[in-house]
Amino acid sequence: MNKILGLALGILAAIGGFVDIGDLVFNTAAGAAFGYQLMWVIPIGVVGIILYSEMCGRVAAVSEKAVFDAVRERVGFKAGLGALVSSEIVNLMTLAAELGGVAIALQLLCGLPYRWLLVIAGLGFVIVIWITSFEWIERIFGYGGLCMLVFAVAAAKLSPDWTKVGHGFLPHVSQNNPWLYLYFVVGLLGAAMTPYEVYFYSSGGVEERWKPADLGMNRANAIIGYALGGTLSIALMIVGGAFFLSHGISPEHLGSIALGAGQPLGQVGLLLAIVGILFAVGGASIDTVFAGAYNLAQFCGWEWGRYRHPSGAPRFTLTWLVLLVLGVGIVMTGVDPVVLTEYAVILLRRRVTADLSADSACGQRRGLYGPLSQRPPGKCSRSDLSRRDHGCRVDCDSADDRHERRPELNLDLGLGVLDHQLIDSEGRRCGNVDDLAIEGGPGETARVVAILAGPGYWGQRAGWLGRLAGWAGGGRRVRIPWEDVAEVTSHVKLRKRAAELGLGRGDDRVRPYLKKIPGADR
Amino acid sequence: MRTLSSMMRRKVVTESGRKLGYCHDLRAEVTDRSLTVTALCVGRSGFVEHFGLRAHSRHDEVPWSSVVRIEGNRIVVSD
Repeated sequence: MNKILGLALGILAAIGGFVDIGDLVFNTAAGAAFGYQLMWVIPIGVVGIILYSEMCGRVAAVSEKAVFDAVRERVGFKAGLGALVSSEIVNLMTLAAELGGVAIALQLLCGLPYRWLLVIAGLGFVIVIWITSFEWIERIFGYGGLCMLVFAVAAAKLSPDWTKVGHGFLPHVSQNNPWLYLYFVVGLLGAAMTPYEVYFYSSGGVEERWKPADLGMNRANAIIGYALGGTLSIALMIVGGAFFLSHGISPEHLGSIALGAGQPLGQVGLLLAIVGILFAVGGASIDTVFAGAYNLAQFCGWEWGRYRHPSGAPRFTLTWLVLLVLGVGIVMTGVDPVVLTEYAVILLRRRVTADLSADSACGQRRGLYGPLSQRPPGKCSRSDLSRRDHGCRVDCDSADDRHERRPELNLDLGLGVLDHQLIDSEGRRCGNVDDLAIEGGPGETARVVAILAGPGYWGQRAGWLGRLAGWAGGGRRVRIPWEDVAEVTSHVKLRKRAAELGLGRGDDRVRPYLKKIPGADR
Repeated sequence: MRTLSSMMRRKVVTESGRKLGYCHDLRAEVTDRSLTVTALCVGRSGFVEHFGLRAHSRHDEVPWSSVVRIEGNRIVVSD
């Protein structure tokens, strides 16, 4: 019963949370420019985001890896760093656009100056995230976003030509202004397949400790939630075609989109549309800011998690605080959120392609499910699969095992150890394997003697870009003797606490400052 | 002391000058508390493995015992 309820709540939240400023802008503008001709792009975008999310959720359930863990492990440090930088730029642009959208919706409701409302929105988000549990944030914004269903009612009430709507689902190229048409095709796909949703989704899966048994739930959430959410995109395009196009209005301002519901449904429709936009865009702001913090924390191997109290993941908390400040700062310069959205959405298309290749590699690789060649024959039971152990234990703890001759196992160092998350003896995330020290040259036995961790080693992985990132990260170097490695699975588990090994110092330094803020330990 | 990153992406050639490809990974043998390097993974298949498209085959491995010297950006192995 709880599972069904959880699924229903998840789907409701997904419908309410599906639409963000990109969907609002592109679906309505596409309808206003081409009527229903671009309807066919929406199902393609929805199928794309379903596949992308389901795959990332599956990887999270089976391997306990979120998107950026997988990106770094698969494409390597250098390409992963490039992917991180580009995704953070796009994420920040999207966040700024969403925050601008929130301020516009608030301005329509209360009439206060736009810049004041931006600051209020930024502060409001900090307070809401700080004091409210994440379950409640999800519910408040997801259910509030359900007000967007008013656009579905408005679409029906506008009595569109359903035959033309149906024809719009057949892919074709417009003879009238084909370049603008192509621009909207790319924009609609980008708006539907926003990577931040997937970063957020897969990180949530890791945090909620999804297991292979949850794969069905993951699939149902992704398929039903996004498919129903996609109907809102269709409704927005119908409103664009039936109202804005027929009246010759170009919805260049976010507020004018709400008129699409206000005209057929009156003041109540207008109010519900503005409230719906406020919650939808507000929820997307929170998803985006967390996505940015997840990516950085996962790439750097820091402790992360939205379900942790702020001082439990200090650098993660600091990152989302800084991102919020930067987002507000960008919109305060006066840049139009709608224009920012258009740039961000077009750039998003490139990011999705890069992430998909890394995650599909992760999903395809048999290693995630545990290649038997890397497993001790005596430990190849089915129960091992549920432990997601695709590596091997490095030693044996029991006395019996110590006297038993262990079978020899093969492990590819680049694929199976390098760039993996380090977990200390207390289960704390405390860095990544940035390199491995090997002793022994040609003609000798070569052995891995230590794990090298810390930004100080990034230079040898990615040249000047790595040196720059390493310098920004503090340049710290930590050498962990291989004897202190307990187990290599989808993560590298250590025998000692992070503090004993000199790991996780950044989190330890930031924590006391965060603890001074009330509620940091809630 | 060497690092794994310094070994990866080096050109692998035989003493007679035949190119075998690039070193994409090192294969190691796990024993109690130690990890011993046994082979270099070379060639295109070592690269595409990272994208889940194909697994290594024995033909793509060069035993570590065959490594003669490491010089510049090359790993020289016996013929």
